[in-house]
Amino acid sequence: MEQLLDFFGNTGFAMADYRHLIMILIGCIFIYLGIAKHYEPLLLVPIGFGVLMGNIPVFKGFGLGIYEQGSVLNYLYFGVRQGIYPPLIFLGIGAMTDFSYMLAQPRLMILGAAAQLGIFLTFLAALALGFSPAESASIGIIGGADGPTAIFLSAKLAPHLVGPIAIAAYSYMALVPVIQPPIMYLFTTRRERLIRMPDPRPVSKREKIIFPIIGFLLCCFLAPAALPLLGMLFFGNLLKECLVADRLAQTARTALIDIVTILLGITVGASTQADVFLTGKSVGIFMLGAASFMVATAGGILFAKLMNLFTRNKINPLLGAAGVSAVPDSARVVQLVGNKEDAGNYLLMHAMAPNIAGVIGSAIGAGVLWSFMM
Amino acid sequence: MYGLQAINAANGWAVTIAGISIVFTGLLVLAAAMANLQKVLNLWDRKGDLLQFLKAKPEAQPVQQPPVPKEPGEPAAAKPTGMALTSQQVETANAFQLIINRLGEPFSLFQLLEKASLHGISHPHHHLDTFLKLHLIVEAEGDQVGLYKWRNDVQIVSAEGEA
Repeated sequence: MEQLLDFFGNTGFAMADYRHLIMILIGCIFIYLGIAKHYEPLLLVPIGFGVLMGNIPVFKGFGLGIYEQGSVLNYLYFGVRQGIYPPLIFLGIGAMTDFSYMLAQPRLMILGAAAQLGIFLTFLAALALGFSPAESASIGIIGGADGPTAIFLSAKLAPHLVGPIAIAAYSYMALVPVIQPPIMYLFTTRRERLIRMPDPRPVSKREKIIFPIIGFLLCCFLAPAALPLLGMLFFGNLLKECLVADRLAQTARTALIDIVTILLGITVGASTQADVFLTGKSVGIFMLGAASFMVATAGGILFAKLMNLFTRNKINPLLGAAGVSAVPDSARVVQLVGNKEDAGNYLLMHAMAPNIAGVIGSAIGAGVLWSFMM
Repeated sequence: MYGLQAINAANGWAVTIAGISIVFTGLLVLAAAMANLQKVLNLWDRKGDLLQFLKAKPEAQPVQQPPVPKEPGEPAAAKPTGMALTSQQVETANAFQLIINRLGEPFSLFQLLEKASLHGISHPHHHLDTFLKLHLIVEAEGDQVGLYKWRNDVQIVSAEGEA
């Protein structure tokens, strides 16, 4: 009988409290959102299950929990803590991205820069709300709408907030079709939404091969702290475009990125525990995350309108919203909104230019914030 | 600390202004570089013409050389035939040759088109049609009918300069 009682005392049932149950429920909600609602399923399903794994009550000292030295989850979490997984994901992203839309219309890259306003204004707002500078920088990067970048910077500056920040970033990326359209309608007139863009010029293979080399050198000389992310992004793209390393590009954009996504998702989820997630800070993070997306969208649109004051060939201001680097969702939202006004106006190709530039811009922004906070 | 006090204590304004400036500068410089890249590449393609223009001197009268007698039985060296293509066609031809090297000869047109589309080569069908009409790609003979070969004895030159 005593042994039976001892056994029961060692089970999760005996050690659980209400916070574990709440986190398990949250994990189940993320899994539901990923599977039933298709909200970023490739991330929310692993993160959701990771939340379940990380919130099973276990004895400390048995090498089971993610924060315990020598546990399997702890070894896997090393890639998040040391910022290894996000650059590997960027390698895969570079190997699957076609930069030709951006190369055909270089001026639209500046809209990608304008949308990164969301990062820095959110940084200020987070400071004002009482977060530390490192925490504020990690929260601000949510406005970059780039999951790997957000995880990379939070792991470096505020590792205790990786979980809520990652969940906020991916949740809002999935909600881009809900968040962006009202802001797009608010800051543009019907006449502006009807602007048609000229067809982009064809981009030669040589330009596509030279671009990752020049882009890497220029960006990393300017912001060396962005080296891990941008280096891998441009390297992946070079593998794709050079044609002679097709096997490597194929591996980077399929097996490698999938493996890293699984490990990243599950460990980020497992690191999200009640004592960090069920706090007022998490509420603040989620509110600021939503605000950062809205500010980034508005920033891109308003800058496009500013550019129109000085350029003869007008830019459809909706393209500014695509500077929010949730690739390709925000570009798709621009296409849908533009198409609603004018069924013959196809903005998707043009929107991909600021969309992809936003990825580069958010990586530079992360590098800048990291170097300031170091 | 909260509000403006917290922002000032953490140099928030300076970080924000510097950060936005660096992001803008980075993408502006990159945009400017890529906007001019096409012009630089066109100049590079025409470097032969440029060098000739810069070195232009009055031409001396050529000295008349007696014709070299041909040795009996010596076969005439086969000169590769030249074919002038646009720069876009030259680039696509180079890309096709890379793919063909990996597919091996003779190759299937379907596989060539599939690989070309996968690698993002623009208008692969149109260019394939052009190369077939120009006999750059020819059908194999004998029991390999239905498969194709690239004519390596044809030298491709750019109509706008050297290939």
